[in-house]
Amino acid sequence: MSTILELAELGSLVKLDPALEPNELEWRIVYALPHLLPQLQTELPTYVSQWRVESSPLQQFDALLEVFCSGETLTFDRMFKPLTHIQDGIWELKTPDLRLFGWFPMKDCFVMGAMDTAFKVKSHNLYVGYANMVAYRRNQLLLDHPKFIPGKDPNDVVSNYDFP
Amino acid sequence: MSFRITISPKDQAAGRFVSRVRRELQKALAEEAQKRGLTQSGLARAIGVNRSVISRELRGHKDLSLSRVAELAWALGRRPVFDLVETVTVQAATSPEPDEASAPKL
Repeated sequence: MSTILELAELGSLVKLDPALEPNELEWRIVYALPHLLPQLQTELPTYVSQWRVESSPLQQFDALLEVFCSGETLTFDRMFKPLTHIQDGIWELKTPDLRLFGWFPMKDCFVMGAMDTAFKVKSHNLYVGYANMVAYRRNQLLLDHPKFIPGKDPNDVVSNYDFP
Repeated sequence: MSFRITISPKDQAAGRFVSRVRRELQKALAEEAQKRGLTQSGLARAIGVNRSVISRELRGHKDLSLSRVAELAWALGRRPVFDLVETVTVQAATSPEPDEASAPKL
């Protein structure tokens, strides 16, 4: 069994660099399972917005990573929440066109285990399917126990979650 | 090992700016909801559009025009301020000192 840092050194997890601005500090961290790198590198830039909005899914992903990692308030209203619990400690981070599924091994540390377009996830109702798949991959990972923070309260998994 | 997505600086700047504007509007609405109970419906009524339009614009399912940003700001009792600040490039503190060969000749 290994810590997150040891798994990152072994290449079993890959830390995503949010390319923060010079005046921003990295308060929250995102790791990805290595099988996602080709998707992030080659597929994500080809995704088009189902809403036909000016920000492409790639731009949305970059902006989400910046907001998440810089520790900004994540949500201001229940209508605009970008973080939702699915089941069994699996959470969904979202943009208008993307759905990222993962878990929190510790507060403010998200491990992304799957990503897809919002259109596909919603039209095929893949929420539980992705949650099960990511939970399986989490179990396969040689990560120290407890492997994830349980519960549904977003304040347990991220700091500065909502507007006071 | 870390990984950075490939995005052009131009696209990155545009995407982050759009996201920032939308989040500022969401934040202002949350503040006004606390202060005076303003809702998306109230906001929509104030500027004469359907509530679903406001919902889609604030959720990022519809683009925001500059005039809509100003209208929403007005209905929120705010005044948008637009400023173009010169970009500052920060030199990493751990950058190696230039060696003699690469140092500029004075």
